[in-house]
Amino acid sequence: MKKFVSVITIIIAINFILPMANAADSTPSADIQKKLQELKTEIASKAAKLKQEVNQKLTNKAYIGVVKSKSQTSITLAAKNGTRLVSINQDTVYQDNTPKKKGAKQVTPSVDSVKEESNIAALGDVDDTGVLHARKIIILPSPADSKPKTYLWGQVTSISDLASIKTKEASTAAVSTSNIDTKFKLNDFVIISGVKNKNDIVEAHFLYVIPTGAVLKPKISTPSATPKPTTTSGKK
Amino acid sequence: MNKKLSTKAYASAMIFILILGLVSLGGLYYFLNFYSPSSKTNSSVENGPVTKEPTSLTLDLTSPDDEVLSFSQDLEISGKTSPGSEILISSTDNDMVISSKPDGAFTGDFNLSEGTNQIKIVVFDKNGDQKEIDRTIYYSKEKL
Repeated sequence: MKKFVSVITIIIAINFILPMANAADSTPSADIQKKLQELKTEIASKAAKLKQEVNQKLTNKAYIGVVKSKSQTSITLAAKNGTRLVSINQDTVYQDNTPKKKGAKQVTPSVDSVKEESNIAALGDVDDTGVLHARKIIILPSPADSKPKTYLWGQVTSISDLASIKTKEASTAAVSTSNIDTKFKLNDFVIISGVKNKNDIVEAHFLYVIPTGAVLKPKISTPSATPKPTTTSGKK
Repeated sequence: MNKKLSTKAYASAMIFILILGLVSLGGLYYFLNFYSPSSKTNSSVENGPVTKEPTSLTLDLTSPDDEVLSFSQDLEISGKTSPGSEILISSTDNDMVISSKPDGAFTGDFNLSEGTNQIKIVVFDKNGDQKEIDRTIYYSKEKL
């Protein structure tokens, strides 16, 4: 038994120590080292590029919104994408673009010119927490109650004083094209941008004829989700 | 140590090591294929049959980012969408249309107005399906 154990020990030692010794002795070839070096260079270059991209994303940003609260060091804005925090300091420049009342005294804009509920654009750089460090604050005029733009895609089905456009939803939109110079003809597929007036007519500001045409698929009614009763006939 | 090994002892030792090796390999195989949690998630039976995702209109904008301050009047608009689509770029004062290339990529220079530009990028495919993305860009003529 003693002999048996010593034999196993010797064989295990040979099997384990020899490969380990071989591995320790062997050095990576020049080819592997070159590849490693190339990989290192590639990683460093990619990291630098990534850093540059991140910096680009954080510099020269503009937060535009309504002032919700203000202190001597910060302004909180309600912007399109949510709440935005703007940091201000003694170097921040102020500009007032709101229309001046006749006879009003000329005042150099300052942080005191920024009132709650006023529209502002804060220009500067954003830090990694999303706070914009403002270099300039521009007080904007209140947005006019302008109607939102409408976009249409469809086929011209008639042209008279107004053009009729058959849309994807198989509805027909009346479009006034008096403000545009672009030539179009019947059956053209067009993209239109404009504003809907009170009579639901789209006053086109821009019209583009799709050169390659398009496909106006006929509207197919969706089949009912309830399956039809089926009769089963068994073989007799 | 100088004693000569008998053939029987040597053969028994080799067989023992072989069995030990096989058991270890078997254990490793079992662990990797049946026991390991990662192997379970890769099971095609649990994931169901392989199905192709329905192709739908996509719009990925590479440039510009949202809430950008631009000192240049021409703003590069680029991205990727379905091939052969028309992309309408529209702000309050300006509109333009560009077409996507066969690989779906598109690029174009959009003319900004001074101040705030609310830009809408709308893609229309051949069937009139549409997808849109909004961007707010502030154009300043003077550098800060």
